[in-house]
Amino acid sequence: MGLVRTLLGFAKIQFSEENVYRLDSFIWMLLVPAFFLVEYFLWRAIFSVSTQEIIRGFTFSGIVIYFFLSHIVQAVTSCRVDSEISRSVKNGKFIKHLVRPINFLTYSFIRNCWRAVFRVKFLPILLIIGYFTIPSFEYTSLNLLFFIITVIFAITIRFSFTFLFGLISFWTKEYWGIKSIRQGIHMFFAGSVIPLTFFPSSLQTISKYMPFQYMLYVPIQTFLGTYSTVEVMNLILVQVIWTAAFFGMSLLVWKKAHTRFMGVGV
Amino acid sequence: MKLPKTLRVYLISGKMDIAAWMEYRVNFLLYLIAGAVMRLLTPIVVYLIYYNGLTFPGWDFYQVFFLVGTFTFVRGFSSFITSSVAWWSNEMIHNGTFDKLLIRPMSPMKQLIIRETELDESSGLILGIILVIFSLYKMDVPIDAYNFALYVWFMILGIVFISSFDILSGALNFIFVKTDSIKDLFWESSMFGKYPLTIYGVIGHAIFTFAIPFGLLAFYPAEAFFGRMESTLFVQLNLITLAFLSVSLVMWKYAMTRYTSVGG
Repeated sequence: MGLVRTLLGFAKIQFSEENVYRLDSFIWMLLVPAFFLVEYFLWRAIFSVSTQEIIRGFTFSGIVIYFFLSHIVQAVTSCRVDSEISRSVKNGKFIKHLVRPINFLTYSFIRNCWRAVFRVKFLPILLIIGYFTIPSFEYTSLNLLFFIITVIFAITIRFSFTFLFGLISFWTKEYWGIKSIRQGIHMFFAGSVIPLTFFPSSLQTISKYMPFQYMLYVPIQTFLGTYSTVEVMNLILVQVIWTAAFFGMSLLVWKKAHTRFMGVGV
Repeated sequence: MKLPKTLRVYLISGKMDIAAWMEYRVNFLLYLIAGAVMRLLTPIVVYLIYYNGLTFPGWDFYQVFFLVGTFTFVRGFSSFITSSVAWWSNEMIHNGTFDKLLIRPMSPMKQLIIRETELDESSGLILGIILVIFSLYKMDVPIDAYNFALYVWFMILGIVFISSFDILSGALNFIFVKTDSIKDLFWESSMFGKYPLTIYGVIGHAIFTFAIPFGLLAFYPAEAFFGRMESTLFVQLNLITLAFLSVSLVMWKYAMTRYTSVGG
């Protein structure tokens, strides 16, 4: 009962926060479909002059759904815990996290999960645009179920990875540069700018050993039915391993990191 | 020859920025690399598209690279001039320090422009120049002086247009106090200009030419360079850019009258 009350308390806080930044939410509601539209028109033009019907495993319909889902997965998994850590360490407000009767990692994770739920509000306009732009496509309910499961693990990997990276702020004065480099590499190897099948084979191999594709590319391909059931099970196992590894490392680094906090500005 | 006052102050501000950044050299380098990594994503996508034997209708690989380089340069250059209007007005209006700008003997906008030279944004400028020179070298086409002059002129129009967006964004900061998304909306929406306008079909092409001329950021300069520009568009695009600049300046003047020193 206590846990439920805590979780609902977090939901209430998140709801209030979302209400304060209504204009921000509205603008992102417009921007996300705009990003999708650029990709839609780009690939429509490319397919219109291509002699191939299937390019690197994608039909036109497949690639449109890929980018459509890519924005949904990115919206739901997006995580800014690293920026929050960096900002609060810099201005000294991090002290409040140390005096709370809840572990900071748990606190951040629950907040992030609620954010993921509330971020669904970015999607109505995208869904309307998707209705008019996505050609017909078929999916099975099993693929949909696998998609949901892999997205849930994508949220946990992305959160734990971002949290771990954010802890660097305890050692550096500035975090923005490191964050942007990480974001660029993340976007590229997660397949958010172009599907990984378009990469040269060497880069595809490298990307297999990185965590990024499990945060975006794998869930989308699961929905598109690229993998067999056994392959999906294996991929979910890999997602679990990445999540456990990043949470474990986060706990270890956290123990060292928070002792470095100087309380500047308190 | 004596430089205009604003330019002199801007150069002094630039010197101070360089001195400040040099105190944190590693950080500066990280900012430059970070900017380059993010900006490299679009050229990499273009490379991968052509690597897979695909093409943009009517554009070969180096022509698209030239266009992307121009886009990167124009956005990078505008960062030097007016992006601080959008960024700093947001911050100063929120914490009340905008008052300081109102009592100094220089217009608040000029003060915002010279406040920071955005040296960390120079990666866009450098990368843009590299991409343009690289694609020109690879295309090995003779450069026509008239077309090159048109190319430079349309890039200037592109910079003025995107700067108008920064000023508009700054003006809206007076109305919607403390929101980062307005800057994001104006900045991110310029992505419509990073590929040839022909991909958007007839309606999209017309919208990004006459309504919100994102085509000025790269498409029209590149078209002019390759000698494919319709001459009738020259006057129209000049007038549209002038209209955008005028509207943004009028909006800025009006918005300043609504400043109420929140938290000052």
